[in-house]
Amino acid sequence: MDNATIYDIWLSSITNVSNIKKNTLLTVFKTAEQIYAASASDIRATGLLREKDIQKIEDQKSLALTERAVRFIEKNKIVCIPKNSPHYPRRLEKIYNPPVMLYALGNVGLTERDLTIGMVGSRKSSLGAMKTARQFGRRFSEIGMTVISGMAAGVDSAAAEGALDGIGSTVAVFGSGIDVCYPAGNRELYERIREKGLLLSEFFIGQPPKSGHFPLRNRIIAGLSDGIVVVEARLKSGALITADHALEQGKTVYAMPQSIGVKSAEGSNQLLKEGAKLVTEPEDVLEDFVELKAVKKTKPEPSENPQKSAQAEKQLSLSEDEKEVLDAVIKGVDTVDGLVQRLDTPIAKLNAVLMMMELKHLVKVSYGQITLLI
Amino acid sequence: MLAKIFSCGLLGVEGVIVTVEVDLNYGLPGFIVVGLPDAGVKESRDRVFSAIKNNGYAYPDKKVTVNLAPADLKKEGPSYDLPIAIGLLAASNQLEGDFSDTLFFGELSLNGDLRPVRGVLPMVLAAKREGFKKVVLPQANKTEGAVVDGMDILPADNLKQVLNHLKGKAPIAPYQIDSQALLNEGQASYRVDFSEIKGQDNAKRALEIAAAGGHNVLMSGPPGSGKSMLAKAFPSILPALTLSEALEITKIYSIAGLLKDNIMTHRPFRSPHHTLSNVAIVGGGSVPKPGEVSLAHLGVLFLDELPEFQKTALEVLRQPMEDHEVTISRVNATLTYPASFMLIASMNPCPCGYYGDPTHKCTCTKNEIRRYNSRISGPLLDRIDIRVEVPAVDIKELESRAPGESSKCIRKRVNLAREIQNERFQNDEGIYFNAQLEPHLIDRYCVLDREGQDFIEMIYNKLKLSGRGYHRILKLARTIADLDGAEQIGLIHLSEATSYRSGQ
Repeated sequence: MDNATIYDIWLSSITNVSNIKKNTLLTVFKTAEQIYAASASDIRATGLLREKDIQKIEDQKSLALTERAVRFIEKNKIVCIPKNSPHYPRRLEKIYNPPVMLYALGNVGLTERDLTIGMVGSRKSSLGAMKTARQFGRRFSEIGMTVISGMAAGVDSAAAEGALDGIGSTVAVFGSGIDVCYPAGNRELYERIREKGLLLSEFFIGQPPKSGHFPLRNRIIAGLSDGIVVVEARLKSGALITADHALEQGKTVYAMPQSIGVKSAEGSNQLLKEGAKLVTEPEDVLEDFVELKAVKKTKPEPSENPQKSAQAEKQLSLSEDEKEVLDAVIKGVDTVDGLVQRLDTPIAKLNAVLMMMELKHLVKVSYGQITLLI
Repeated sequence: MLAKIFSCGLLGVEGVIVTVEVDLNYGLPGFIVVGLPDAGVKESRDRVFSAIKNNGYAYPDKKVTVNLAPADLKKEGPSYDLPIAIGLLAASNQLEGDFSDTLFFGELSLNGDLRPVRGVLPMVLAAKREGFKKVVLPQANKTEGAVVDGMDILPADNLKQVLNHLKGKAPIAPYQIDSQALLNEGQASYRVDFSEIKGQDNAKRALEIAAAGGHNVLMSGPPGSGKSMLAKAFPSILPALTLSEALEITKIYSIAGLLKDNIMTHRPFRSPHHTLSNVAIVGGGSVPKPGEVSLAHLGVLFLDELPEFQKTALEVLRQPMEDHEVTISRVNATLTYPASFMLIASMNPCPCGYYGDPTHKCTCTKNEIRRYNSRISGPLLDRIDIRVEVPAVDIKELESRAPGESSKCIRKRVNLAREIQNERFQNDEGIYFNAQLEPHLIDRYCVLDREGQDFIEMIYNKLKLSGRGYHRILKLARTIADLDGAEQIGLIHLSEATSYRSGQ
């Protein structure tokens, strides 16, 4: 690791001075090394920082912590991308308050791909939204787009998993240090993304997931993406903050329609009302990116086909009863009680049929509510 | 002179014949009771003294010794007042005759009135077993005693009536009732009928299967979805009580002093609050009293809000669920009470209660839900065959619906299924319904055809079933096939059985 980078890591290790202030200092002193070399009075002379912040920087002018971090970084093969690095994502250079440092694990080239799409949504999302997120993630990835998300529970994870099901081009941006897997239950996903995709964080090694980190993380998701798809979001949610960032950065915001009155979708429905583009299939997003128009015509066919034939295959092996139930569910009778009324089938038989369909991954029954999985 | 009178004490749910010996000696007038009496028995001296005096008889001016045999059994309560009084009068030659085929018990008031005592039914049953012919007891206990066939029940209002009877002046007519008629009369009505519950077909079906095969049930659903109402309606689809079952339950309630009517005509439905202690569940006290598991004997123990119960209280349930009886040891006695009950439990899907409810927002985190669910231990869950999700219902939508099937209809099917099981298990000692099947019996009675075997193998792998889980599905499938009247367990039965393990 070269000397300059060590000072960049030092700068990023000062966690109680904001990124904005660090950026301001960099405009004056050019490199982190120069900031380190500058005395308190030098910084005071610029008149850009308050005395409190100058004191904080002065207090942390030691490389002990940095050296420990460097050892950790080298051991775990974490890639450091300071703002002045040639590998720094071009999309981020253009945003307001770009991170002074990015830590990365995985395929660093992914941020420079032609097309990137952010997928965000509620942490407590409906089963249907998760399903859609996964499908879209997979389709985007297969078409060659890079899916950017936050690896939060719910929609974010589903989108990333979908992309991994495809060719695996996905970037997860963290609200914690790159080595901190949050939520902890996503450990498996974390490993998979590191393997095939890219993990990114602007936060110093070992930083916990503080609530204040997430809005900052969202500006990076928006910054890295050419467009943002809001799958399902509550009012006042992180997903809406990401959408706001995207709009400020002049990017298109897409939203998926969900049922009226569903709490977890009020935010995304609000976006639609305000003029976000409504999407019901991945092509709705693709058509906005001119370069891919050719791809759109050729690519969807082969990937659509196996899915279709799988669906047909599933339907072929259905018994008469199962077909009848499936028909009714597709027509919108989505409760067990409703099916009893509509089909006039005894509950005993209906339970047996639904269990069979569940085992075939056609439907999922939870608290009397039936969700279609195809 | 010595007099010997027979009475009865209680040991757990059984009556024990107690011989009351009264002896008069020369010496300073006094009154001594031996044979491990408690304070209630010792105090009978003053009640007996006044009762004899106030009925125109003389209390002997001698040293009175009363022995209650067997001498190593603790005697408690005031039910020995009457036999002691009779013994005193016989010993002082104010009363003559042979009372060796008669049992006496009852509490005396100072003017000689007889007051009711508890545990009458087990005591009368003990009298019958030991070959006694007649029982003299307080008027208020007469129906409880008359439930036992083949005994002369002689109810009396006061000491005078008893003495007139014994002297032959005014014999008391034996009191008789038709206990079967009493039972049938009581069984005509139920608190909640299934036809009053609209919708929830899935839960109703699960309860029907539970009733048919004696399976334990866990219902999970948001507040207001009707879990408690379903549980309350559940006894109405259980098979009707037989007379011997009714007597068994009445015995327990009689001992606990909880008998309201004369005989228990319904299967008990116990729904204790979730703050109850271990002792309240299994029973206890210096002389152990029956706990909730015994009070729910041959009936239903309903635990609402299962995860709110103390963990230890739930764990003590495991042994009675397995053995169908519970043994309690205390300093004074070690007693075994029957405890063959069905467990119906209910819980919310998460701490706030609204997980999976489309109209409310669930505010719980994944971890909170996991912690909430982990309050119920695996071994307890293992003993619950049916787990059913009860969704929230839209009241407006339900109002438009026709009423569901009545409890009577459902009970008919349950009875048929029970008959099939009775026939099947007639050679298996102690097995009455499918839920009791042990693994080696499952292999014998739950035979699958080719198709069924393929299916269960598939779900075994797919759902990662445990050995117990596998057996549970087979037991349930057996009950479902019995309800269907089918000899062979079919694919449709297996598939339905699998659906009641949802969520796990």
